[in-house]
Amino acid sequence: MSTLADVWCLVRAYRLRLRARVGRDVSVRGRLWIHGPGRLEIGDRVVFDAATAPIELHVGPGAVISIGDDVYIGGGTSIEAQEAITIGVRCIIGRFSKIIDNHFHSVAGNRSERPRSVAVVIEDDVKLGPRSILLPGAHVGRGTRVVSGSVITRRVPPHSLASGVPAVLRPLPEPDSGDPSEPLDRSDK
Amino acid sequence: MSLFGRLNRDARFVFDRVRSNRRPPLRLQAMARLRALALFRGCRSGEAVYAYGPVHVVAEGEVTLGARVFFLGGMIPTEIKCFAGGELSIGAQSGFNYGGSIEAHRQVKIGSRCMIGSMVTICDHTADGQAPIVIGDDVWIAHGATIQPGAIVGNGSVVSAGSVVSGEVPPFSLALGNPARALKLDLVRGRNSR
Repeated sequence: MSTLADVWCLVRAYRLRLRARVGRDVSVRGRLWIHGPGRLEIGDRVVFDAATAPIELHVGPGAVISIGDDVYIGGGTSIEAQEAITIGVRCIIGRFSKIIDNHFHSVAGNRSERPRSVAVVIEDDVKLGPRSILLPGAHVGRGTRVVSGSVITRRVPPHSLASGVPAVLRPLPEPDSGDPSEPLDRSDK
Repeated sequence: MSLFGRLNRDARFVFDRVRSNRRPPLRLQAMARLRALALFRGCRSGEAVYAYGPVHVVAEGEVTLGARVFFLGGMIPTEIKCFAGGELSIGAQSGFNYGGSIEAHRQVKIGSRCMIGSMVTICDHTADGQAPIVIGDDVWIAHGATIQPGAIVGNGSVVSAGSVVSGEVPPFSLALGNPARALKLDLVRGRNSR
């Protein structure tokens, strides 16, 4: 424990514990905003890297956000649940991503009316690029790679490459055949 | 609770309230009113403009704000920039979520009762040149959309999340994709409007 930043990291991880069910060795760099009365479950060794911009976790009444083990969440990411958002183990959520399970406004008709929520699921070993957007009903399959800036609104099969607005799905060029327990290369976040 | 924690809580409280169409408490409204008065001094602004969170304002050109325009706070400050010789006008009761960036080098017009989502970029200037942007009334621009120079968004249209709009979007349509295509709003009524 050498720098002041490390001390702050510990303090923030402790403050997170006051609010959520948290696993072991969770680290928080920078500011983490949590609001709403819902339930929040965070696995082991999760990293909230909010050094560039704060991370927002919004759990509405009766909603659940559950984050698996070894997940990395980049700065500026905003995760807003009105029903349920599940993130599997070993996922990487790029910077400034947005994950919502409710549109908050109706597309047609009365705009101040809130539409129905549709749960969002991110399975294990998914990599979301920076600025990707997951809208209600997104279900990203295991090992999928989402290219930065993509928008996903529906089911994405496992081991695919999703790119574009709205996302075009292709099978991943090389399916992830390595040992799934091996940590992912985190050098290109 | 620390001062920062308290400010954060207040900012998000407002956010939830405004989203569910309820009024924030009077104390926060008063703070927002004062902040807006300080930020938009020297601009032509209508009555009761609210800034619930941090807004970076550059008002070298002509900025006109309608009545009851509001800026929500959030993780990232909103930027409102109008450079020398530019003209930026925002209609009454339009609302801005956090992290947006609006830049007017020549002309940007935003209509009344618009909802501008978080991280939306509206800029009328690129390396290739400048062209005015016109956004009609009752337009909803969702999270992360980019409005490029020369874009014209018709009344009542919706620009979906992450879209890039550079041409014309007819009234009452849904613009979707990069580059954005427009669909009639009547046709998409079924899926997400319940």
